[in-house]
Amino acid sequence: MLNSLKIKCLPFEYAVRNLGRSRLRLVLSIAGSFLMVILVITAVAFVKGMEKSLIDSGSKNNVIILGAGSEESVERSEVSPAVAGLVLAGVPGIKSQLGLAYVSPEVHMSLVMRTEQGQDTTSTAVIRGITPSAYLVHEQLHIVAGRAPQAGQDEIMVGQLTAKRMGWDAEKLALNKTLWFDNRPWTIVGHFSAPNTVMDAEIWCPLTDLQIAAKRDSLSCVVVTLDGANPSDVEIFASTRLDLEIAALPETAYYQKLVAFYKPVRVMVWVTAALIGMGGLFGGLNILYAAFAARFREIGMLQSLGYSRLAIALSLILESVLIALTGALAAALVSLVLLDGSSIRISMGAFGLAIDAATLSAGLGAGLILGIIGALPPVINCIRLPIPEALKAV
Amino acid sequence: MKRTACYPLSSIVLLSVLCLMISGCRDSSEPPAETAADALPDSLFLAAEPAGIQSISALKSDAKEGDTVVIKAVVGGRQKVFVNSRAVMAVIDAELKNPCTVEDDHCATPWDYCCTPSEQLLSQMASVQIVGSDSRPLAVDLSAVENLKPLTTLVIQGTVAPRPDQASLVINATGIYVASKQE
Repeated sequence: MLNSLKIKCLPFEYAVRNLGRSRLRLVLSIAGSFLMVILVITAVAFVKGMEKSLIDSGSKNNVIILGAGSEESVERSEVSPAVAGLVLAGVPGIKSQLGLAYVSPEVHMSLVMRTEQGQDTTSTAVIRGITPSAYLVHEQLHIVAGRAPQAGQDEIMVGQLTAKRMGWDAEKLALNKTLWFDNRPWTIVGHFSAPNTVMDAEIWCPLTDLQIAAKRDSLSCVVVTLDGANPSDVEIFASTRLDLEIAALPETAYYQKLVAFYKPVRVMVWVTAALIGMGGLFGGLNILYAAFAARFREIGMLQSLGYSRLAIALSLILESVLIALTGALAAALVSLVLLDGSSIRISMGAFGLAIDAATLSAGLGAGLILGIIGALPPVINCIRLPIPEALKAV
Repeated sequence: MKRTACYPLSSIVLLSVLCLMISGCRDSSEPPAETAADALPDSLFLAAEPAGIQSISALKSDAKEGDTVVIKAVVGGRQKVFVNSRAVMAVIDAELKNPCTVEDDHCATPWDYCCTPSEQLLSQMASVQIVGSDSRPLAVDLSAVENLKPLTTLVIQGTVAPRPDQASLVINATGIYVASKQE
């Protein structure tokens, strides 16, 4: 049964040797595939990098307490300073270690930063006022150079993507350099890393110092890590303490909402990639139409030798796939060398492009599809002629 | 010319499917869902409206823990009115007009009374919970209960839970009468 389904195919070498008929055409076809695939890889890496930086920012065991009505923006939220103590007393099952409770009161603000007093700049950074408990609840963060800032000393600590977020050279945020905000200098005493999270592009400083600088006594949020409790226990606390005007939600749910907020940006990226990809596809179609149109007689001859239309079509598609995959592989290599680890700056911060196995698979898959779909119309056009007409074609 | 039997099409299809499957993989970062294990008591929903309705603002000023009370309230007052997988909801006194429900307001979340000043809202808000024998809210997802939708008007009978603050009022509901359903 299987043997009866076998078709007499043209040898693989036949397709390979045909590639060298016109070197210029070959190079142009590979370049077209390269451009389209690198675009797909960049688009996928952008979208995945953005989603990953938001999703990984939240911990599954953390619950964030925000001001009621400000559940979608921590920077807009205002919470009473008493909430941190009240939630610790009112919700049993909050994690603690050696007597330290995993309850982190925080202030999040976006402030204009300057490297010297009076500098004319619009560079903004997200600055987070923290207490030492922030290092407990945000386990993704590690100090990689220097030390943590001390309260009352006008000290700050910067993330690895903070310079990128502000559009500055990394040198400006080196240890012991100063940044100006609230009309006074703040010394950079530490560098931290929180890979694939929004924290990586932030500046951290002691909570009380930031409250004094910002002239506010309220908090933006309180983040708690749960041990025996459920997120709903904190939600019940928030729902029943109406006087505090707070809302509680799992940290992962908060960042999922941000992912949804940035959906139009992701859609725009996909649409742009699709439009340019269509241009690449039609360009490839044009080249293949011209290439195959010159081979009517050859195809007629192959048919007269006994090769079926399907076998000839498969050989022509194989040629197209080889060209497309050569461009796709080159694009994958270039993206690994040039794009992997590079970061993108957007309004909420900065994030790294994620060139992982799935991203590369998407790029190679797009190259494969380009090779197959791009070849189909020219191939159909090429093999439809009867043998006598094909042999007489000019 | 050498004749070969080959299966390029099946290889290409297989490779395409493999690529799409790999690129379709993604991490699942959803927090673990909590199970709603309990059931609401059969006697919770009342057939007749209980008498003796009091306003929430009046109760806030003089109600004590353990008092039996009856309120007429609308499910709402917060963007998220139900606690996940726990029988707790936010309600607001039915006497308070909701400007969000005016026809030409086009508010996407009219149940949160976002058009009402928060000071006015706070004095008219209460929390309602249905507790079990351990005095803890039942593990029931109220958002899935057909009769309890945001903006539904209810008459709630129950007892006042401990009050940590004058602004807070939590009622342990023992009976709920659905005065007007929200479709």
